[in-house]
Amino acid sequence: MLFNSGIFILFLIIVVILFYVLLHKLRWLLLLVSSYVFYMTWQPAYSILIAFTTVVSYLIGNSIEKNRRKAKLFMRIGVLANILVLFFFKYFNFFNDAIMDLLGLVHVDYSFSGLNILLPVAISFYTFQTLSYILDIYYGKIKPCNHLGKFALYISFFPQLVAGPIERSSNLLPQLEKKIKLIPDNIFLGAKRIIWGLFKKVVIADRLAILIDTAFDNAADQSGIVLVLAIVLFAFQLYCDFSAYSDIAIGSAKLVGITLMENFNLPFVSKNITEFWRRWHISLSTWLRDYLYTPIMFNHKKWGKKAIIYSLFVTFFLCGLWHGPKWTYVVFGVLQAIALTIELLLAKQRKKWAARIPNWLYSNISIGLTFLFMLLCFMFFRADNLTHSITILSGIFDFGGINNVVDYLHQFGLSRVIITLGILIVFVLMDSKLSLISKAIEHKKWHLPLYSFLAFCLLVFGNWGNVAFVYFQF
Amino acid sequence: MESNIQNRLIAIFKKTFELEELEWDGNLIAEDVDGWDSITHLDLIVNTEEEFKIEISGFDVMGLQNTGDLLSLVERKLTV
Repeated sequence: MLFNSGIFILFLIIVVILFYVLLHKLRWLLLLVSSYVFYMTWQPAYSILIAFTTVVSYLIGNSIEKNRRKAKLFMRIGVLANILVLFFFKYFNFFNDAIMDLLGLVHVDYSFSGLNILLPVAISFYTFQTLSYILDIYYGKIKPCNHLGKFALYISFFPQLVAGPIERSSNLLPQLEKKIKLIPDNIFLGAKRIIWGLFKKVVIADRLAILIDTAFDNAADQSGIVLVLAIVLFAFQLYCDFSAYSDIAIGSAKLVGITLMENFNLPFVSKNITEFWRRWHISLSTWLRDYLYTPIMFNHKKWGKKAIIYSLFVTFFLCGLWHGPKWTYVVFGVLQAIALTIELLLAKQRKKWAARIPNWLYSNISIGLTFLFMLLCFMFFRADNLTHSITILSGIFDFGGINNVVDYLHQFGLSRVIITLGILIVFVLMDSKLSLISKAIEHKKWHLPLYSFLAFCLLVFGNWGNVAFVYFQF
Repeated sequence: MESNIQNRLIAIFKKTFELEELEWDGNLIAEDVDGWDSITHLDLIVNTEEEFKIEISGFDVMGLQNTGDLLSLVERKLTV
């Protein structure tokens, strides 16, 4: 059930109505059943897998708490079980191929061609939630949950199940236990957030996708200008697509009185990559910081700065790989680590540079450079494989003729391109101001026209071709 | 004895984060401290180890949510 579909809207309305009709003590059951129904519209058989992970993690959590002397052992079993499942279903073929290539280099004949495994939807997301639960109990940050049903709901909660935000149990579990009253404001806030998300996805991201896909699918034949345009547009497509999912997730949860964490905060105003990761996919970056980066760094603290650099490379290598079993994602991750290392080593130097030029100039140069760097990284993110990335990179420096660009634009019809780009520009301006607009306008009378206009755009300009969200594949 | 540990921790904070003054607040978290980053975080823990002649493991660090937790950790390590 895609978020950008009529059936999901219907599903959501039914669940919300039932939620407020039912007694508090039955609500968790309604949400749990709805979440599994939601999951099963993707892959019925794999609901067994998420149930398995859930039960194992629940039992491990309790075992760690009840038997502190063996806590480390139970923690390791729990972490290993989760990672093995994730590894097997997501990365087995990738590593098998890598081993095959390596052995091929030394002329060893390794002919196991891999398993035909289908990637279970949401596995990267719910596994990270179960891991955070186990580790939080191990480090003494939380007490285990003593209700398997509510814990299962925390792991499978349908608004954030398939593409995040990755929620910590300390944020979501208490809310699932609380008695929720029907507050009209929650309904309005939730509905507005969903409309805004749908607008970003259906009107912006999916319209941009048409332009971008055509350019990248024929990368070898495109002029440099078209490829650069496609990469810039892809940055916005990815942002709109992914943040739209988070918006719809946050809005849906709000309808039942639950507040999920924010996942994006105007990432393209970042002045450096360190800041970028505080504004982009926040639930993932904080997860990586808390469960990977910090422990690795402190386990090697005797190395000083080298501990930080080592931790950066391990963390971001895995961050890249988390997105999928592809070398292009690994390159993406490693590029991040390199940038972050350079920023770390040049921290004092950058302060000196900043002191020498006017603030506004330094800020804008920083924002520009950060954006350009991310464009390069996003290109790897989007490319089908390493060969494709090289085709695109070499294509960028082939400026072709202006005719090539005109041909490309004519494919779509000039008016359509102008409308798409126009909407994008309006969106960019609105995105940063929307929260300000909402706060500044005390009388909510402006909200109805604004959101009605957005809904209108959805109907008129939307690409409702049921294009899946980019992050569903992770 | 307790306030002595607290005073010594204040001194460590001032040195690590290059602060002129610091009012002790047990609820202070990373986000609240100006100049907190990976390097200063690492320095803070290493400086604390050196000052009190204790060993703070990765596991210990993971349990720290705020400055109050750090104070409790140091007290625990010193009474062992």
